Amino acid sequence: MKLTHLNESEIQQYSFDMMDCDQYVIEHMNTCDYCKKKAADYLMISKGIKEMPEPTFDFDIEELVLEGLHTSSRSKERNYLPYSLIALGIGIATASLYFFIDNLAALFIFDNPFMVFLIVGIAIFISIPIGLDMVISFNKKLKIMDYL
Amino acid sequence: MNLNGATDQDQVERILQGETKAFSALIGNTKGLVSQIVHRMIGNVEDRKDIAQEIYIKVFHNLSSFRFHSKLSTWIGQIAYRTCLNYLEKKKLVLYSMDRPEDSEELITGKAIALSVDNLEEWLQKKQLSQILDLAVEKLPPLYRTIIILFHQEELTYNEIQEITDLPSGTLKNYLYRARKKLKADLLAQYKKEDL
Ligand SMILES: [Zn+2]
Repeated sequence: MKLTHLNESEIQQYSFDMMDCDQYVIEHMNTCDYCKKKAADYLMISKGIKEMPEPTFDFDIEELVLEGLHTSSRSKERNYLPYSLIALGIGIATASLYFFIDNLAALFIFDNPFMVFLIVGIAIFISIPIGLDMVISFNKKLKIMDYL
Repeated sequence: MNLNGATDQDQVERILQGETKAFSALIGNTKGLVSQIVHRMIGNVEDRKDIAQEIYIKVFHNLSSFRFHSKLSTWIGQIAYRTCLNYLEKKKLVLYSMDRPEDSEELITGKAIALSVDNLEEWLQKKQLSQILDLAVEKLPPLYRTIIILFHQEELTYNEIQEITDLPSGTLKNYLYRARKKLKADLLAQYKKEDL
């Protein structure tokens, strides 16, 4: 048996994790009124917390969430803009390919260094911001996933 | 698989099939836990509404990835906790540190406890204990407040709290120990004040 009184940690362990207690703690508790009283204080605190009023939302959470989901799915449904733009782009490209196929062939005769520079330059100019945007949005998504 | 596995699975399937009622029922079953976490972590009353909505929208959008490794309610608790944590971190609010921990140290280990321990239980019995504790719990930092409530009021197991908060077992037990010690010190301080 421990001759000095138990410390706070041992008293809390006795009060809430008796299964993990060392034998000397249980033996001491069985014989020491002082430590028993300290354990009783903790049990009283635990009981008091249990009896505290539980907080509730002061709004209808079911309604709020369903409303939020409805709004987000509606805004998704209505967002036809990107698809229309892609369709328009494909349409224009197909039409110009059909009408200007002869001129296009002439464009790719690369004996004009200015034309090569122009085409490659434009390609790089377009791909850098697109690439950067992809990396940034990928990182953002990873971050969001982290919090899910 | 947990004991609630079958019912959780059934509920998730119905929600994924588009049954709105099933999702409403899930909110109804878990809003107690979510409300506890949101109220204990978020002090700002106006932000609680947005956060609560955000939590359940996340739940809805991620339900298809739930793998039934834990109870569904624990998983929702985890989303609630992380959403609140994210909010606190964004606002740079203090999550862990106790105000002047030396106060509680002195009260618990010093003379004060020896002087008042005999009468604390008796005093608490006379007082509206839950009201005093409510105030004392409010004074704890958000993280301590939350785990104390999850353990003592929601009566979750260590494992469940660990799953929700992602705290290692030793850290969780240590935080619980410190939070209880602080609560006891607060009660002693108030008792002393009234006793004078
Ligand atoms: Zn003793």
